[in-house]
Amino acid sequence: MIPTINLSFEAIVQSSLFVILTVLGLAIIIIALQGYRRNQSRPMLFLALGFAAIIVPELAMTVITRVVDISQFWTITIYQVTNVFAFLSILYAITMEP
Amino acid sequence: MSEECDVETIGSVLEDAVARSILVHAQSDPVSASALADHCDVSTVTIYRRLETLREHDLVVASTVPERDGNHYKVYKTNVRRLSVTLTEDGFELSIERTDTPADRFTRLIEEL
Repeated sequence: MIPTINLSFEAIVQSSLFVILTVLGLAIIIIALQGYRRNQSRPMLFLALGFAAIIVPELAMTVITRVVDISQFWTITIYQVTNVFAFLSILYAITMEP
Repeated sequence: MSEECDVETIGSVLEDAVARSILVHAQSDPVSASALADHCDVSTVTIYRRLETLREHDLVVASTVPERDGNHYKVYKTNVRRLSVTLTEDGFELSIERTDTPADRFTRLIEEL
């Protein structure tokens, strides 16, 4: 008897989108870091940090929420707080003098 | 993307006909060392020696092409678009404009905001 994994339609859509978003985000981070390295450009470093501050918590929380029971309120709050830092970092990147 | 370099150093690299031929031949598509050897009509040993010098000065970049049988080989691409020598009060200034990568264009986009 082979155990079958029951994946709901919602779960498939959610995890596929999660993987796509993570890959796209990481691609942007890598290109930004290359720009920082090749051109010694500090704005690119902060841009990369900003994108990382969006993606890393997203990845981390996906793992953490499976292990630890965290209420929806705290999950959303953690996302929002890290997003504040992310947006500040990106804003700093595009407004600072290179 | 442009940077200051030493005229003498780059000049001595470009003095060599094989090195120049490599830069010309590898400017549009990445080329393997053996293809470069055929093109320049010299041994692969000579090509590798020149490539090493060119890579030291970042005039050529290498990337690895994975093969199905596990025999990966390297291809080389020219990493310079323009060399300009300017005469200033302090002497000659050489600036190298590199070939743009997406990372360079992204950097310019952000820095110009």
